[in-house]
Amino acid sequence: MDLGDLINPSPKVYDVAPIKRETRRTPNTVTEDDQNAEQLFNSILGPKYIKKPLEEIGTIDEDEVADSEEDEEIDELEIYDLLRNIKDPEHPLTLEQLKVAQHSLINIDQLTKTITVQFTPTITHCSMATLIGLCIRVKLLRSIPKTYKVDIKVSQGSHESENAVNRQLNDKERVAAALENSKLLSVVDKCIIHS
Amino acid sequence: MLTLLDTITGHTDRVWCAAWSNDGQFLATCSSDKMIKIHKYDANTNKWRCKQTLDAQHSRTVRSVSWSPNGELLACASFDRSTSIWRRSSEQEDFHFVNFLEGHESEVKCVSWDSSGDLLATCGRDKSVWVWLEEDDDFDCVGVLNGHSQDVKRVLWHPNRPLLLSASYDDTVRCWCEELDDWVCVDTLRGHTSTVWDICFNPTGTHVASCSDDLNIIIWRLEDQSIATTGKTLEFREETRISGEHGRSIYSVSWSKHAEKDLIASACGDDCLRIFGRNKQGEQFALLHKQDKAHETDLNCVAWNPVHTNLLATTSDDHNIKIWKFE
Repeated sequence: MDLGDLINPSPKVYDVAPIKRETRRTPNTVTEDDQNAEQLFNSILGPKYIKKPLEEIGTIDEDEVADSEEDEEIDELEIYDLLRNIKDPEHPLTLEQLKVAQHSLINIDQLTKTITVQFTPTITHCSMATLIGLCIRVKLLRSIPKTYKVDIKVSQGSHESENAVNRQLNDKERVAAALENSKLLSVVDKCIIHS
Repeated sequence: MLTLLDTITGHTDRVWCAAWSNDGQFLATCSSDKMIKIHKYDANTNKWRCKQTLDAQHSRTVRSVSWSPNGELLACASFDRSTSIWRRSSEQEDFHFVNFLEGHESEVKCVSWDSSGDLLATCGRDKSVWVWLEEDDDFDCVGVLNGHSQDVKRVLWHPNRPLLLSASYDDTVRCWCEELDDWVCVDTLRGHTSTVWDICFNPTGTHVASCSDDLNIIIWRLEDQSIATTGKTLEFREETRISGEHGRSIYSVSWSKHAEKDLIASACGDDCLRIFGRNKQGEQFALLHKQDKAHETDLNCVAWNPVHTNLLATTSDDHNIKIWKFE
């Protein structure tokens, strides 16, 4: 990939403000049946995921700490924390600074354990979109348990080849083949190494 | 009722494909760990045992395996652009490396032997399908079939006719036939709205099932009498579809070889193994069994045993292979 000519030479850079976790899940609404089902589900979960320290998150309920780690659900802010410091392939700026990744564009369906990450390329004809999406996918592959499903999409209307980019990023065979390409992988690694 | 008989570990990465030999004795599997493994049932332990690990020095993922009809040859397609061929020594049941088929520009995604054992088909990301003729362990390319506009995911021969099907990222399935020394596309099956991941024939070859990223399985009926109306020599017509059952991409379908029961099994990205059966009216397929969390994560392949028709093998991203019994 030739990075000589910048696709977007002067992207808009945004101030970065810390995000506070507003409310935690309220367990009162969970019925006994739900809990049983959840425990059954959790008991067959795979190896524990590598947890990233979350210093910036204020207080955590004592009850929450008492829960075993396997019961811990991943939430949107944890995913955002994993993604915010990924570097843009073109600039020494993070996906957070460029608002390519946004906390509000991450959704998790806890029932199906499906994480949906939408990202917004800085320009609609950005040829880096697939590469950025691949960086997000690799970072999540390496950080969260395999039992979570991950869908990665460009946010609606943010790319002229939206459908083509989305399909490529979610075709696991193509992703697997791409990640066997050592040149491509080293570009991806450069973007995510300090994230 | 579905019972788990065995979990076979050994591969060290995602297991893509599993194929039973025609005599139902051997199960070949391949993986992103670049290895091919041959498994056989061991009556003493009542478990499946890995007899041999084939290392062809493939430098990348081995995506697909296919047995020749007599079980003497095994073909393995790899992302490293090559397909390796292995031959079984008659006395020892051991496989030795025979040949590499090279020609595709990029990843080879699937390989399939025809019912005569003379022809082999391969397909890949370069959008082409290649047909190879085997003679004394030598393979000559006798056709390069262009027509798909994207990645070709799967090739499969008809069980008793010289017809070849290919499924693609371009949402279609194409049917190819040799006419006057030239391979031509005789029908394009349109109905899916996303990548078609897999196709399978019923045992007699009258029907095809295709599964897709659009979460549907379509059952197509092969018709020969459409010449008058469409000018085509043959045609696949959508007969019915299985909709609303799958939660994510369907990566594999397998049609049971059972003589009486019309069963289709599916392997899905939602970690479930499903088995469907024709209803009494014979028109539609109904869900008979859904195995939640059949594997820890995505199922990539499902294959009914051709002889022991109540046995099924599944493979997964969790690195494991499972053998199931359905009664």
